Amino acid sequence: MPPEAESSSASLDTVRLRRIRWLLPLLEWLRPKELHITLFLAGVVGLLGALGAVAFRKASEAVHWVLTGHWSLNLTESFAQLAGWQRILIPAAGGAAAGLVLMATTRLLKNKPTTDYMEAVVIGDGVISARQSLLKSLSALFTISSGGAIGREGPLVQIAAMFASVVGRLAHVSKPRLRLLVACGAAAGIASAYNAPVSGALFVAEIVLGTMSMEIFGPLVFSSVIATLTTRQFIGSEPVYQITHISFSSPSQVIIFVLLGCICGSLSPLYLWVLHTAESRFSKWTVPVVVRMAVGGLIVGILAIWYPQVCGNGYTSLNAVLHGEWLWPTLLCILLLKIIATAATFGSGAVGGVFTPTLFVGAGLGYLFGVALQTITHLSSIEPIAFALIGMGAFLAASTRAPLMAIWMIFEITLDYEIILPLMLGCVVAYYIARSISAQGIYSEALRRKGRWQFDSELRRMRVGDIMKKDPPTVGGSASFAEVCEKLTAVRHNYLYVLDDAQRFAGVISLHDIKRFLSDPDLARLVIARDITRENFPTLLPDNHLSTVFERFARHDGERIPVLNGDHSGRLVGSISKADALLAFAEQPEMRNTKT
Amino acid sequence: MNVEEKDSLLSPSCVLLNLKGSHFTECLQEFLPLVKASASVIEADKFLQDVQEREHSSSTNTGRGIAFPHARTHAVGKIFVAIGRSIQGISLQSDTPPVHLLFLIGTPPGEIATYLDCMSWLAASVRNVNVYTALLEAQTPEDFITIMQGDR
Repeated sequence: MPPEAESSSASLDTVRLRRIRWLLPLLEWLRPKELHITLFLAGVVGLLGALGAVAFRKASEAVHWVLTGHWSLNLTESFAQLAGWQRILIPAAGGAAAGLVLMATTRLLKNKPTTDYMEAVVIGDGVISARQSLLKSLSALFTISSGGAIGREGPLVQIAAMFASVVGRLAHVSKPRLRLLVACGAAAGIASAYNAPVSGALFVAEIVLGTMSMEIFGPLVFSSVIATLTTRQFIGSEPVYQITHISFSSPSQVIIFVLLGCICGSLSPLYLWVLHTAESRFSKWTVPVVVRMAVGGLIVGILAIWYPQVCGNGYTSLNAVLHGEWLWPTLLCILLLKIIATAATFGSGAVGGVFTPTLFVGAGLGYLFGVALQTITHLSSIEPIAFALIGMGAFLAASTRAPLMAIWMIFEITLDYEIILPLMLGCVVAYYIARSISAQGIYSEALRRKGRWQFDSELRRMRVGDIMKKDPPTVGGSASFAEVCEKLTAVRHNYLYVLDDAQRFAGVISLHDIKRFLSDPDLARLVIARDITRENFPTLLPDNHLSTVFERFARHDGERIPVLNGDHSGRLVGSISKADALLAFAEQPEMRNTKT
Repeated sequence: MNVEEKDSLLSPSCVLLNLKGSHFTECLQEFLPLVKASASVIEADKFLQDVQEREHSSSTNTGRGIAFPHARTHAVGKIFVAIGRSIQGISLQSDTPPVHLLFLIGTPPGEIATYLDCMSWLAASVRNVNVYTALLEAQTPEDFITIMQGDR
């Protein structure tokens, strides 16, 4: 029979291969690597986190308007215009409403997965319940809108982390990648709250994850930047705190900030002790959470009769300090009452953050230090406002145990480069002083209580089965060359796993091996998958430890290694990527603990 | 594989111009002395057995009178090619036309690129209808090899 009498199926294969010949190199060029996909998802998380943050702000303003008749969330102003009984009643009622929501959450969603973003990133599997998060955010909404002395960043971070968890699960990412996305959500939340993208990424890297590896830091930065850009579309790009330009005339002046760092570092553990003591006392009080939170609100309300500045997260008061609006006795009074109000709100179990209140305390301390220095020595030519700025950073560094984040946070929210040298000095000194007094910062204490150490040992025991991706792309050993090429165009991997007739793992087909022959129509039916299978390919078992994974990757230059069933049946159960293994390693407790 | 390597694979001693068998298995056995004589093949019987198994799992009959039975097997030390011609035709599958040219190929398991290169080259060499006709009419193994290399 002459050669030109080709069968119709052969010509069909030729057509398929011809299409693949052009498609595969193009797809290979365009094909996103896992890092690209992670970055893309981090961007989506940043966008959603920012939208969530904006929605939360608007909802807070709406609830605040219902409660006080004032639309703006400037709590100091709106509370100042209220009658005394209203100042008491509104925070108490808000606390009770927040408590009711928390009670309902507990009753409705028993045995649900972990909700707290820190737990999800550090000790969990990245799964955050959307319903629990929304209900907790609703509780925070009532607390914050009614004047509770607590920060907004808590719910903003929680909402963004929840979106991240949902996005990651919809995209079917691996467990280490899901945890990374939740961390990206948290970074987006902080970035949205403070218009501070670098600080958002650093917050999560330093405090939550405790690592700066580029595998992790890149997506965190990407998410933070997208979140900040999105937020700026709604609330503008101005720095959160407007300050007048600060200048330092002499390098020797910088030494004074070492002293301020010492003071902030020494007082920070006391501040944390007050917060945790309040929390401990409230938690021992055997009354329903509604009553507890109503009392927390009541305490704030009573203090607000004299000083409405104690209400809210402290944003307005902080601006007042940074503009030198108060005389020092007034500031001292508000500072002490604000600490009590924050302790009452935080201690009563309100959902929220203590970031902005901490900034306010630091700024207040710094300002008072500056005034004292001027009064006592009559020498200092530096404005007390400068000390307020440095005190803000130093106190934040000491309280969060994240000096790098604190330095960037103050720089980003003021956008004044002049302060960077004294700021760095103050933050680092405060951090070391605080660390020498107490080992625990604000968040490490929270994580300890949530059982981080118990989960740390689980991370140490992390196995391949915990981080592998299930259902890898496969092809039968009898599949034609054309089918193999088609399958390779459809998946994002350089390797296709081959199964034998009994569905056992038989080896892999490498795109590298066949790339040159994609245009060859003769091979379309002559060659089958089995002919081009590499049998001697490294494999892993679900029980293998991470060290075994790295051992395999050290001798194998591919991106993925197949995982076979532990019962030695040879059944393919998943695959593990080098990037996921590195991520899991970077999130190991040994890595995180290097920060403390 | 470069041109010299390809040329070195084809020698008149590897060509059987008159296969007598009418079935694939019979023809394969006709290759046995030739396979045994080759320095590239480690285990001749095992090699032919592997070729038969491979052919059984998926036929290499192109449907154009040519087949490329092959195996990637440890039974060969380096790539091996032998060619057989049957004037009356060999039956490989009941539903396909008889085969007149058999290209028997063996490659070591690790050399996937070499294997694909060889298959691609041999298939391309006989794609032209004039070459195919000339090969069917070749009088000696030397003529056969000359025709195979004719376009260079």
